[in-house]
Amino acid sequence: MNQPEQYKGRVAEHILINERFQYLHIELKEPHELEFQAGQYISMDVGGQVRRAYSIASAPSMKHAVELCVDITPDGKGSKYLKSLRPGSEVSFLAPLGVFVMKPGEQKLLFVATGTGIAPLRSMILDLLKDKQDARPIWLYWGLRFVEDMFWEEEFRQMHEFFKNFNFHLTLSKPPNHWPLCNGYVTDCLKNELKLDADWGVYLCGSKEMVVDGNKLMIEMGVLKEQVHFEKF
Amino acid sequence: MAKYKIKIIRDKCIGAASCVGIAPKTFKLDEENIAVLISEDGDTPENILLGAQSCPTNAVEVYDAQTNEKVWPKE
Repeated sequence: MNQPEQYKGRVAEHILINERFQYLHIELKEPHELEFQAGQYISMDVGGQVRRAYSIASAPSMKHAVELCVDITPDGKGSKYLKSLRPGSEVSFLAPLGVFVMKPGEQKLLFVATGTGIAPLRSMILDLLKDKQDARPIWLYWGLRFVEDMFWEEEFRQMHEFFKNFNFHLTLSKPPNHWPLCNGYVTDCLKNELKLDADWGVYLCGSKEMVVDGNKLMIEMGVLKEQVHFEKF
Repeated sequence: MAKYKIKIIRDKCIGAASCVGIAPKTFKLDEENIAVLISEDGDTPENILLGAQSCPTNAVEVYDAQTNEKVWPKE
């Protein structure tokens, strides 16, 4: 893994996706390129000698910038800082950090996210499909609460259309009437739809409850303990 | 004499290894994937502090070795 360094960047895009989620595109200034592994995170200086960890949502092939997707509803120091940023704002962060990265030797891949836990998984999926043309079966289950929370679903649907080995399932825990897809917790949906075994590698990221329950469930479903990987923040 | 005293809160550590990445002569992960201290002056004081600051769960506390004042985390 690359040694972490201090980076300075400039906000190029700052989009409030909805009331809950914020997207940021940060162009790197100094150093101007970042080598990282899909799944890693940055530690951003959010002012007042406070730092916050944010997973990188963009693919490692995008070396000149990082994309972030952050849940801003906690309304803590990190959220307030991110909301205050505007295009052109300067930011500083340490990167790359973390060990939640793809492991070798797994024959089938399952990614499970809730909310902005999708960020590091998006980086991994973009890296696998678009940059490495990985042909292994890849499944993504992504749980959100409401229809209003939905974002990036079109990007994943298009990838599903283009890459025949990629399967995408969006689930809502609080769906509207007549929601045609699986509703409920994301782990319940995948339990009813997938058969897993020792060939699978599983990557979990999201709410603490989902990660704890998902980890247990994957092992019950036949995945080897050492092939269940998760980000814990 | 080391500039900082370091305390690792095991219950908070999630094994993200950011401290190890930044200050590899100060921190390592044990067999349970939890950060442990190798030495309080294994890396430069700047990198030791950065290693603590990079922890996503604030599991590494840093104190001034002379005054015992808490340097990190501030909140």
